[in-house]
Amino acid sequence: MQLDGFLESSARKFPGKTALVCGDQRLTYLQVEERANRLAHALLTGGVARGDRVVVWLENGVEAVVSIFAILKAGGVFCLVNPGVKPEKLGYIISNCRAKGLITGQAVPDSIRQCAVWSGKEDGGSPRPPGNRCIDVDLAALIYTSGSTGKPKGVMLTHLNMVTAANSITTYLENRADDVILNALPLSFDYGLYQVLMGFLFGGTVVLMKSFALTYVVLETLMREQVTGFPIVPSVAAMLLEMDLARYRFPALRYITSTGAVFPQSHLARLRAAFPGVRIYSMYGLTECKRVSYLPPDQLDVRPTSVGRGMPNQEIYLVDEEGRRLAPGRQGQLVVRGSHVMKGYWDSPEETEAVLKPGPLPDEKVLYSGDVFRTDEEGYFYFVGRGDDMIKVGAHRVYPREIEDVLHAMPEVAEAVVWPAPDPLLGQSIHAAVRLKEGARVTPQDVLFFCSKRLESYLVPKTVEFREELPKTATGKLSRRPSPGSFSRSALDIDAAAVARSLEETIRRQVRDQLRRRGVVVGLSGGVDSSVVAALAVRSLGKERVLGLLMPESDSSPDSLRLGRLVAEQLGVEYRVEDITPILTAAGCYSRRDEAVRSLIPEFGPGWLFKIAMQESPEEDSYVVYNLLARAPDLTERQVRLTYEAFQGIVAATSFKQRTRKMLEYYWADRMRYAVAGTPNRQEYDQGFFVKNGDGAADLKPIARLYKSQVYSLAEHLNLPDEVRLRPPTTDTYPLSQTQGELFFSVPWDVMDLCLFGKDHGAAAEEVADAAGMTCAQVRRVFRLIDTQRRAALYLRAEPLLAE
Amino acid sequence: MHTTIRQYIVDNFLFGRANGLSDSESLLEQGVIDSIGLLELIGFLQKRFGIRVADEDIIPANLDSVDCIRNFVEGKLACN
Repeated sequence: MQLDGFLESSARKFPGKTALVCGDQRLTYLQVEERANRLAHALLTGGVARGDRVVVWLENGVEAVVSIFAILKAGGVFCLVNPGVKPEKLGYIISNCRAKGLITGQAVPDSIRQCAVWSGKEDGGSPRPPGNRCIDVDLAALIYTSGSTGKPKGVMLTHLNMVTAANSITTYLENRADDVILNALPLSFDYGLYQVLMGFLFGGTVVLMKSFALTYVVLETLMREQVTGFPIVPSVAAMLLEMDLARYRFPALRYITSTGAVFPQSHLARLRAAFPGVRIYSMYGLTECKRVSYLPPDQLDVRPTSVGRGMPNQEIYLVDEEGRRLAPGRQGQLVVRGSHVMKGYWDSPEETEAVLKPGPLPDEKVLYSGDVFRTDEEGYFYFVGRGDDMIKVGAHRVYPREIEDVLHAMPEVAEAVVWPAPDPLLGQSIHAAVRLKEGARVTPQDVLFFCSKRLESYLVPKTVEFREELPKTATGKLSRRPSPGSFSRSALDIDAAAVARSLEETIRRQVRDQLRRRGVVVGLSGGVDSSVVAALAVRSLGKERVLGLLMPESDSSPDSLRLGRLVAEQLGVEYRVEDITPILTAAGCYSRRDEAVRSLIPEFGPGWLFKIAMQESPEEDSYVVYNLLARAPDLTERQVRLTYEAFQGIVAATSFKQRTRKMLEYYWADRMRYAVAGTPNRQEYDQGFFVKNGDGAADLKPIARLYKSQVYSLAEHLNLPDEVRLRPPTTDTYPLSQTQGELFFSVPWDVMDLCLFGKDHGAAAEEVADAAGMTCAQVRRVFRLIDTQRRAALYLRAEPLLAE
Repeated sequence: MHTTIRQYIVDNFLFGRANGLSDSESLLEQGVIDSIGLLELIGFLQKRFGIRVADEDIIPANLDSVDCIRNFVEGKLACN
C-alpha cells in the first residue's frame, strides 16, 4: 500500500465523515480527497514527476494536509519544513534536496533560488485522483533533522517505511474509526505528521491546531471536539498542569501520548489526577524509523523511566562495540530492525553508512541509533545516554556544530563551543561557552539575540557564558565538555531562597489541590532532611497545619529526640512523642535481629552493641563487603564478615523500625486528614536507601530531587538550629552510632553528591575526580556502585503490579 | 564443578534465565551480582565445596566471573 492510499481508502469508506478540523473549517474525507486531487493535478501540470521533491512551508492547517497528499498523489516526495524556519536553512534544504518547487502561503525570501511556488489552495484541476504513479519502495517523504556536521540532513522514507510505522503505532494505541485526535504539534515534526497520517489510516477525525501556545484553547477544544487521543511532549504536560484543570472534564479522552523525553514522574501523578482513567503512553522514537518503542500504560508506575520493549512488527536489540548482540540485562547501542527503517540520508552516503549497517539477512540494513540503552531482566529498555555529541532538547535532536557555526559567524566571537546543560523540563538544554575577540564589547544577551535571528527557537542556547579560554581536547581541538577545572562543587550551588519558594508553592499545591488534605505529618528525626521538610511545610501551609512526630526507640541516639524537639519548638509546630520501643518489642524486632546476630557471635546478648559497616577499600575493582562490628559489655570490639543469612535477618528485622514509624505517621494523618511527608533527599531516593513501605512510603517527597549539599544550603536559608545544620548524616538504625557513609556509601556524603551529579550530567570521571579530590579509578568505582544501587532501587520504588 | 557454579548463578541471580551469560563475563559489571549477592555466593561456595573463603580472597580476580570462581575454588581445593 502507498501512503496516499490512507486518504483514498477512508474517502471511499467514509466520504461524509469529518476528516479534518482546523479552526472553523471542517472538511469531510471526500472534501480533503478532492482538494488533494485538484492540487495534485496542479502539481503535475507544473512539472512535478515521480520522485520529485516538493518542499512544504506552511503552518498546521488544511493546506498543509492537502499538500502532503497532493504531492504523494502526483508521485512526488513531500518535505515539510518548520514554519519558523530561517531563510538560510530553508534555502539550504531546497537546494540540498533539489526541490522541484515550494508550497507556501508566505512571500518567498529573495535569497532562495527561483523554484516553482504553489499556495496549496489551487483548485482548478479535476477532483478525480490523477492515478497511481509509485510503488511502495519509492520515497514518500524527506524529513530534515539536525546533523552532526552542522547541516540538516534529509531522512529518506519510503511509502513502505511510513505505512509500516503507522500500522504498528495504531495497533498498539488500539485506534478505531471513532477516534478523534487533537494535534497541536507542527507537521514538520514527524510526531505531529503521523497524527494526520494515522488518523487518515483508521478513518478518524483529526483536529489540527497551530500550537499549544494558548493552553486554555487547547483544553476547550479537547472538550468541545470530544477528543479521544491527545499527543503531547513533556514540556506541554508541564504547561497543562499550570492550568486549573479541575474546571475541565474530558469524558471522551482515551489516551495521551508523550515522546521526546522520559516523562517526569512529578508530572505523572498530577496528569493522572487531571485526566482520570486516561491511558498515558510514554514513547521513544527516532526520525530515522519514526518510532522505536512505547511503554505500555500499565508499566508506567512500575518502571517509569523505561521506554518499553519495542512495538509491533519490529525488532530492537542492543549491541556492544563490535556489533555483537547483547542479552537482556546489559548495556549497549540500540539497534532497530524492521521495514520502517529509513533508506538513508539524502545525498549523504557517509552519514548513512554510519547508521545503516548490515542486518541478519543478505542486503538487509538495520538502524544503529547512536543511543545507549540498558535492559532489565524482563527486557525493558532504559535510555542511558548518547554515544556522540548530540544534545536532546525535549523532542529535538541538536548537534552542537549547527549552533557553533552560527556563533562563529558573529564578528565579536573568537571561539565558541556548545554543550548540554541539565534542564528539569526538557532533560537537556543548550549551553554556549564563548571566547570573545580582544576588545569586543558585547553582552551574553547580544549573543543570544544574534542566535535567535539565525536559529529556530529550540536551537538558541539557553545560557551563554564568556570565558578567557575554552576547554580543549588533548589534540588541541575545542572540547564539547566543560573543562576539567570547571566541574566543581559549585555545580551543586542553588539559589536557596528561590528553591525554598518554589518548594513551598509545590507543597501547597500538592497537599491542598492534589491530595486534598488539611496539613502534613512529618516524622522528625533531628536530622537535616526531616527538619528542612518540616520547615518548608510550615512556610507553605502555616505552623498550625504541620504535625511533628518524634518516634524514638531503644537504639535511637538521645540526640535524635533532643534535636527533633528543638526543631519542633523553633518552628512552633505541634508535636507528639511516640516511643515505638514497645511496639517493636512486641513485634519481635529486637529478638529476631539479635538471633541473626547470634548466628555470627553466639555470645551476643544484653549489654552488647553492634552495627553493620562496609569495609572500606579504596581499590578500583574491589568489592563492597559488609561486616558486623560488635562491642561487648567489657568494651572489647569484634568485627566479623556478615553471612548472607545474618545480613538479611538483621536488615529484615530492623526494617520494622521504619515501618512502625510510618504506621504511626499514617495513624495521625488519618485522624487529622493530613498527608504524610517523606523526607528522602536525592541520594537516598535515587539510590534506594529507604525501607520499602517504611520510610519509602509517603504522600509527598518534597526534597527527593535535592542533592544532600543542597538540603544543607536550604537548612541554612531556613535558619534551622546550628546543631541540626552541622550534624553529619547518621542512620540511627543500629545500637552503635554510625554515619550514613559507613552503611550506604563508600564515600562521604559531599563526595557522593559530586559523583551522583557528575554521573547524571555526563561529566567524565577525570572531572569528578578533580573536583572531589579522588582518583579516577575511585570515581569509576563509585559510578559503578551507583548503577548497582539503581538497579536494586527499581524494586523498592515499584508499586504493586496488577494483572489485567 | 563448572556446571554447579554456573547453574547456581543462573538459578539464583538470573531467575533461571541465563540470557547468554558467558563464563568470562564480569558478574559485577553485568549487574548479575551486587554486594549482598556476593555474601550469598560466598556462603554457597563455602557450603557446597567445603572451602573457607578468607577476607583477602574476596576480590574480583577470584569471584567476578564463572571462570574466575571455578579457578578460585579449584585452587582452594588443591591446597587442602
